[in-house]
Amino acid sequence: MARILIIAGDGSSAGHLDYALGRMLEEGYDVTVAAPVKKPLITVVHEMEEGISTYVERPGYIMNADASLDEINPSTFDALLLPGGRAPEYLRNVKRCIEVVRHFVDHDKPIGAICHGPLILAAAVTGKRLTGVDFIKPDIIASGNTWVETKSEFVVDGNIVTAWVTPFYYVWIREFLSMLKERGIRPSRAERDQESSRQGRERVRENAVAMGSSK
Amino acid sequence: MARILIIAGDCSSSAQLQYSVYRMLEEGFVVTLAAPARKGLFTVIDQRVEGWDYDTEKRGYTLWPDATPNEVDPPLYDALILPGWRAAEALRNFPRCIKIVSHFLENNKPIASICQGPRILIAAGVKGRRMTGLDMIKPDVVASGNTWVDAGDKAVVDGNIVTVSRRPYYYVWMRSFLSMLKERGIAAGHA
Repeated sequence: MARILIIAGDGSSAGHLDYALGRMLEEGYDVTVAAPVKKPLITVVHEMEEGISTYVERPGYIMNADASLDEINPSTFDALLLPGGRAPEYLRNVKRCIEVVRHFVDHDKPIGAICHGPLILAAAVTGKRLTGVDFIKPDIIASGNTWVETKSEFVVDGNIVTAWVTPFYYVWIREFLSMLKERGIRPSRAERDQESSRQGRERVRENAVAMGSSK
Repeated sequence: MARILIIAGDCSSSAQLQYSVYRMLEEGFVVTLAAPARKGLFTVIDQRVEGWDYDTEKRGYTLWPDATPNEVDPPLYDALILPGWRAAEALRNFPRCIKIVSHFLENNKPIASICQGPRILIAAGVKGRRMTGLDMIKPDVVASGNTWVDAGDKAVVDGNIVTVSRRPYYYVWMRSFLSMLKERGIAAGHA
């Protein structure tokens, strides 16, 4: 069974995380969302607004972490996704997070990052061609990586796919899935149906428990 | 080149609208997002949280429509997507919106809907179909002479209509809709 790890936290982008998680489930992968603490995560909506020179932040969907970073074993995963938002700024300071990311780097396993997600990569890799939201260019350069100006496109360097910002989730995930396919990381049809059904049910149940809601 | 029409409005679900728009773009379809006015749409983060018996709303992502319903020529499109949440309650009252939806019904073109979106289908006169959606719209589905299905994590397919309950089953919704498009030979035609 092909397994995908998504690293997120409070302040992860609602749009990136939702699309990345949904698409991996649609394809039938076994997905784990890992965060510093296993708990419901408060995601955020970042947008540019007229009259404000940087993005504004509003609270987004509450999304469950399936596991803490400490309890996952990175060697059981085939690929890694790093959504953006404000979370990467603190996740890169979590030692275990960088340890987990290095496993994917050292073993040449596919990694997809978007927007602020490459901040985590900057703490774990050097000498790579990367892109992301324009605001992180100084961090990419200071870490010994090369900044690529892409706008609406993606950048592939070896096992790493990076993409620009909202709304280019589809450019990011399309390229990431194409890398997985090239490397033969694919669930079977039967696994797909069984796995996404099970995981959908679990997510609803866990949310109900965590949030005390009626659904 | 196949063309997909998505009808949304203020208070469409942020995630349902985004997942469907970006999923169609990922697949390479030409997508038109139509809304009552050409302005940034105020979508909402719709979610049931502790202490509330019904969903709460927060402001979601802003999406910009490509056209108003008046500017849309329905025969140009191969399929229709009606995302949900509260926009559907308003949109079903726009005669032009209903006229467009009727085109897809009369011509047996694929329609995907989720959450409160099926209320637009009901207003367009859909009867005798098996449907699902947000649990709270069950009375509308039943009163309109359709059959309510407690679908859970499964898509309900009845002829050319795919319906799904709600979050987090966007992926079930779009997978089923894409499979219907494929069966009918509606392909993106990659550049």
